[in-house]
Amino acid sequence: MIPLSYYLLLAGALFAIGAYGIMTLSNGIRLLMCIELMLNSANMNLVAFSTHINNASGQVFALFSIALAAAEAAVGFAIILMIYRWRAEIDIENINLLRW
Amino acid sequence: MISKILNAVVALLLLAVIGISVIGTEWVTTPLTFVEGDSSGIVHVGQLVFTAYVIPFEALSLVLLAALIGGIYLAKKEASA
Repeated sequence: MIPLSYYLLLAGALFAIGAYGIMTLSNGIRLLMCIELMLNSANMNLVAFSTHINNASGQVFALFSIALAAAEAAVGFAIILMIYRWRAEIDIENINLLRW
Repeated sequence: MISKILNAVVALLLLAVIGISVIGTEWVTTPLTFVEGDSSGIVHVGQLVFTAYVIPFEALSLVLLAALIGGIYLAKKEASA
């Protein structure tokens, strides 16, 4: 059986890659992709802990989390589509309507 | 370019903190016990979804329906105005 810490290190690396993408992004599509990456690292943690404490509830939670991520991506892409129609760009450095 | 390097440093620091805390922890684990004829545990997971977690499952279907309707409404080309 693969040790638990390998899974956790892989999930941490995925989360760090997603965080780097979020910090350096200038594209709305890339924002959603990096958010998916971070969500999937959390899912990997859920499944790894679930198999290592012999309790299948974590896998059910990971299943629900994947479905919620799908819903989030659908709404996010719709919002980005609306922003593109409104501004003819999705460069989120220039979209500062909701920033202070 | 400088800010990208700074962001990479911040991401690597995050990875280092996560990695050090994962490596430095003594994980007490009990391995997954496999049932006969269910080598991946997927039968148990499926039974859990439809027994213990059936209320969240139904709520999730409503959430997905709401997201579907909202996404289609937002992405729809408006016919007039």
